[in-house]
Amino acid sequence: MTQSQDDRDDRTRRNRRTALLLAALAIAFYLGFIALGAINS
Amino acid sequence: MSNVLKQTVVAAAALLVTMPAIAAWDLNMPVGVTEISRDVHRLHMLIFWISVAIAVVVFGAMLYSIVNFRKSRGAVADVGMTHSTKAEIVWTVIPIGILVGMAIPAAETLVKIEDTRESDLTVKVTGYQWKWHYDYLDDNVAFFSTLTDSSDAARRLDSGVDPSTVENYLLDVDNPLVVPVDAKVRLLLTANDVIHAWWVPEFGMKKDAIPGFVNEMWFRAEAPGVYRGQCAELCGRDHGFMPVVVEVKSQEDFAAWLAAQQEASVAAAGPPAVPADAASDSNAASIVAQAE
Amino acid sequence: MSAAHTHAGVADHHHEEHGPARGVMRWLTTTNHKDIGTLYLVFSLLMFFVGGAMALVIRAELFQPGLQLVDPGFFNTMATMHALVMIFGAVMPAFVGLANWMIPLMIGAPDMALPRMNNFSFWILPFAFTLLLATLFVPGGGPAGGWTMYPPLVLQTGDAFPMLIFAVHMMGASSIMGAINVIVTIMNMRAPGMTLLKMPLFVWTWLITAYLLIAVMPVLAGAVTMLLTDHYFDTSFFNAAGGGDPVMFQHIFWFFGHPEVYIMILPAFGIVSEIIPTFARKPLFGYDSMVYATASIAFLSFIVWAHHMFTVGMPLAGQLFFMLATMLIAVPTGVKVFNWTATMWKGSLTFEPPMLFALSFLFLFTIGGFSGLMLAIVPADFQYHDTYFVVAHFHYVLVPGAVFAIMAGVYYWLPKWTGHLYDMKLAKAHFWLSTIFVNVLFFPQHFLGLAGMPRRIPDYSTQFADWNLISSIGAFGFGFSQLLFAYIIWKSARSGVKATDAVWLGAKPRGLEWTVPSPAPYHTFDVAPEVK
Repeated sequence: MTQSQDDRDDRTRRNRRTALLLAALAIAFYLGFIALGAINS
Repeated sequence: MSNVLKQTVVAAAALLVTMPAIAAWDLNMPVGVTEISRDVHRLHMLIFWISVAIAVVVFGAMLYSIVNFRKSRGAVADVGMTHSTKAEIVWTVIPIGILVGMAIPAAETLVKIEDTRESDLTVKVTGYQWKWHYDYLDDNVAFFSTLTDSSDAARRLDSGVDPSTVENYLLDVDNPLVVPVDAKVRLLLTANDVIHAWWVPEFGMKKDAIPGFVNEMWFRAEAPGVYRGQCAELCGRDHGFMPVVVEVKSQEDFAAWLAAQQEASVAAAGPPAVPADAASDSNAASIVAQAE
Repeated sequence: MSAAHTHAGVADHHHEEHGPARGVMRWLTTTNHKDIGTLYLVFSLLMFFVGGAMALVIRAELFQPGLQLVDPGFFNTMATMHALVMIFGAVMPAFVGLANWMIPLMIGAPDMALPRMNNFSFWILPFAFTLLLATLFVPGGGPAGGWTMYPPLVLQTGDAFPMLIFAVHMMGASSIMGAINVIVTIMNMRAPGMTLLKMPLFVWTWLITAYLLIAVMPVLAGAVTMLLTDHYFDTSFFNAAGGGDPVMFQHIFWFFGHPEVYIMILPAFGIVSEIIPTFARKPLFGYDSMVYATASIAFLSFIVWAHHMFTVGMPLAGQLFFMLATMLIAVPTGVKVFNWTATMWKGSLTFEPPMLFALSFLFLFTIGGFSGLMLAIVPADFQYHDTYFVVAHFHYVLVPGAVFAIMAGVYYWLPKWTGHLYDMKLAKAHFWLSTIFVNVLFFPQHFLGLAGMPRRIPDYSTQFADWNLISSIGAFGFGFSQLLFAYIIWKSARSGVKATDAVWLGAKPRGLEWTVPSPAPYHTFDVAPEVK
């Protein structure tokens, strides 16, 4: 059950996409809480 | 030794270990001198005993397994025993029931604590780095309360002084807060610089003193005496050296004390030789009373 | 869960590069999850001793009433740095190290999803901690406002302030990237047949932990960014005179802070859930329940944060809500304790070092849980808050809790990493010394707190002397016992009886990691195993 280079590239693309999504989530939390702080002060 | 006996020994040992916490070694929470402190002590002991009871059961089961289900004893694992929905339900529902049982008295006491109405005396308390300021708002009496010289000298690095020779080491001040017995004393807590917290264990209450804000708490001491506590929020280098001392006098003694203070403050020219609270005076409009 | 495979674990020679680089460059540039796992674990052990030394400074000063050793300001710095180092330098990196080593092996993946980011995630940490520890040498000294960094006090920090903030940002970035890697790996790279509800519990707990990390590390970053701008750029987020609110910092910090403590314990739950079934020779009782309980704990962890600030002046409704929510967390936690106990019940137990530490965890973490329950009760908390009762509670859940679980995990998987069985007798000695001294160290602190001793004070009134003396003795005993741990690991890396694939032969542990040789080859599962 060896993997072709294509399979590996596919997986790498999927991995990077998921990672970017999660990174965006993290950034959204960061900015969101600063915004919360700004609203309250 | 039979298993039942073993479990009894374990339970007894558990109790023995926890004995110091409940014996009168001054190493349990004080019962205190207010209705609230007594309620809190009762709550504390309730949760404690419930925890002990649960521990006896759970630790008992663990110890029983460790002793009896050993491979070296020839125990064979019951590999079919993998799950039980009934067990999961039982040991979810019973704890919830126990928690509800705890929450009700806790909520009742909390409501009592938050009721600051109809106080007999109001004192504004301001935390400074590193001392307290007490201001009897309606009586024109105000002063700082600072660690005594004897403690302050002894606590220095390489002071050469043995703390056991200092009376009430680190728990004594020059000017304690003085209040009458059986009076509902309302405190307005704030701070001049960083967050402090005002706490007397025997009154059963503690609250933060926050610069720019006013917190409210109350106590009613039911016995005259001197009660000692400490600042309870890290406030810098000398956080451990700004004790809280309250002297509870009889009503007559308090009245006499107050009168003497008022005379003294009229005699002394002007306000105390320290800057007024910038946060509370000049920004009066921005003070948010965090009353409950 | 069984695995059918042929040569699945061994590197496929057609694809193998020349193996790892040599020397320093190997460790600087590696993208191999095993190497990176080792880096995290070694770093964590080093930081454990650094943080431990700081704890010994604290306990040495507290040995007797009076000030004998340090300036009060430096004492506060030690308390602050001890916590920062232990939390961000020891406990969290240790769990990430275990995740790196074990998750790919447990799910049959060849490596983590993003190997280069993995390398970067690690190497940020030595920089961050160099910066943090360097603060001890700048004017004004290291940060001394507590690891909780409350304003306005933290704004009185000297030159160390921007270094502290930057170090925290770096640690946070490292954690976030690590968490992203964990989630992507688990979601995208499981071997065929390994559905989510067939994953080992260690993998589950790390999956959930990783989501917590992504949700809350940015919140910490936001909070310290606002501290920075308040200090240098004239904002007033937390400055009352400017219209801000110091208490808002506490809300934001603890919104991070409470999930943070679950971040530090969920992987521990996972480790213990791997070890107890192995040495009880019985499957984990209630696997599904354990997964749901972990998820419940994670969810609830977001709505209890204000129990760290009950004395701050909160409306009654707020206090009631947070009290009830906090009490509720006891339920899924209790479910886990009951399930572990049920796993032992009618098992066939043996007591190798991993099992000893796991059982110690079970007992002592539960004690920490009881003091936590007491703390949840708001009126009682008014007496406990900011006293040694709190210090006792969190040290019970973190030291014989998280740290013992980490040690259990190390003792469990070390032969897989080094290929050698370590010195079992020494390991058991380490266990007994640690368990006894950890209790001598922390149990008396319950009494101190109840008697009225506040936290974060370098000197105390004489009625607290006796228990402080005992606690300090425990500290030195516990601290020095940990040297044994370092020695055992170091020795086993270099020599010892050869370990088999399954390592714990009598126990027949399940899991893909036990199907590869010991030491695990540099590349494993280049070909995914089939999971039934």
